[in-house]
Amino acid sequence: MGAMMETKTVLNLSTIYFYITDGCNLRCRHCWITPDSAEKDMDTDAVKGAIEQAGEMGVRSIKITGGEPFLRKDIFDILRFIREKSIQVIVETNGIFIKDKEAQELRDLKVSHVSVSVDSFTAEFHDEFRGEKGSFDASVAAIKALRKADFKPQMITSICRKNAKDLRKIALFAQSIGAGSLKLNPITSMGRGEEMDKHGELLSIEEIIELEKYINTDVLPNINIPILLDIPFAFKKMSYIKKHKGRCGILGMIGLLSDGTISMCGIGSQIPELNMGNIKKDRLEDVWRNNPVLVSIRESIPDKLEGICSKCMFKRLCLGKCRAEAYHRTQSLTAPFYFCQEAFNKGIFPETRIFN
Amino acid sequence: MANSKVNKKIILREEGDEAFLFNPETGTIKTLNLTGISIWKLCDGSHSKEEIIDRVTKEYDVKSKDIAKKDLDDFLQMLEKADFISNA
Repeated sequence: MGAMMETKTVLNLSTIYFYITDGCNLRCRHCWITPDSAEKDMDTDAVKGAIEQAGEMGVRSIKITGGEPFLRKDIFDILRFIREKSIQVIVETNGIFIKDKEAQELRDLKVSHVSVSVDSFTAEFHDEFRGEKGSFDASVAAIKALRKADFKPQMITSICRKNAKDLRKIALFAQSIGAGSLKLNPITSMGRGEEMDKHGELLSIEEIIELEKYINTDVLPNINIPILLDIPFAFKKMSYIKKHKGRCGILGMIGLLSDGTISMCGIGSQIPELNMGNIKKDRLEDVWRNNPVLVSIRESIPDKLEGICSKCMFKRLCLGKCRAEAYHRTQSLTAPFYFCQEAFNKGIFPETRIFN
Repeated sequence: MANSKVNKKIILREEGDEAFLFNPETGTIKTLNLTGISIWKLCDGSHSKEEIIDRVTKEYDVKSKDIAKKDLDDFLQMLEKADFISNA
């Protein structure tokens, strides 16, 4: 043939989402990961081996999540090991085990960012939603302790029909307890969220779009912390997009489950065909370079995205929002993101964001 | 000095008090504020930089022409670098 083969560049692996335990002390009604038990969690040596490999590959940041990471007795040992490799750490937790001492220890380790889940401004709603009495008080205390230790902790609120109506109160509450930002995750029909969906508890696309408008007009003018509603860029104001990138870094990230399974992200706990090996026996670098799912993602995202995503001006920024969810719904990695496609079909996708 | 002229392939989208430019070939997006929109529309190859500064300072009540000149230079440089405009 003579012609040179065109190859798609393998981007560096920059981020790992590490679902470090499958144990959890809560039973949240909406959890998409649906943690089970810590029985199959990797031991400390195996976890450190994984981090060692990440360090060798030049990984820049690891998000520690779960399950509840602080259920692990070795969590600070692990965090210290990551920091010794000069890798940044972000931690997602329900905060129940974070008191003043732990918050200070996280500060001393120069953990970059901590997010704590709190779903309401009342204990009644939160405790019922999270399945554990007293969890609200403990999580709120964690945010306060983190603030005291000089963090700007993010409060993460999972939003459904029941608490969306209280958004203004939730935002004011987040600010009052010292949260540095409020992240709103509309609950999706994955994991335990499927059951909520069956009972009509999830917000519709129209309601989520309205919520975004309400945040801009009625909530943000009255508070001093950013509110980050997790919806596709096509529905965000330009001023927001300029300030907050916040996209899924699918071309530079990988997920690592508590038993060592290497996956696209946490989705591996739900869809086994997106699992790519196990770090206890496979080299992370080999998987990153050669796994067919990852190769396919590199070849098709964003250029081969289908449906409304193919016409969207923001596809290079957005990368099709959440490919795991697209796959979960359609078994295709290039399917349009359901939210945008449904909005387009209903005539409520912003026309100014479409070309062709 | 040559006048600035927009690359015809670039799409301008206005959304109330915000706007953005989109390059369909590269997917690059640049955000614009109201002043940016006015400047973009004046980059038709027939207006000199001085004329653009005059128009913008009058339209937006800009106090200092020196500041306006520096802002305009930075803005045009950014657009030129991204291949959104060229010098006619």
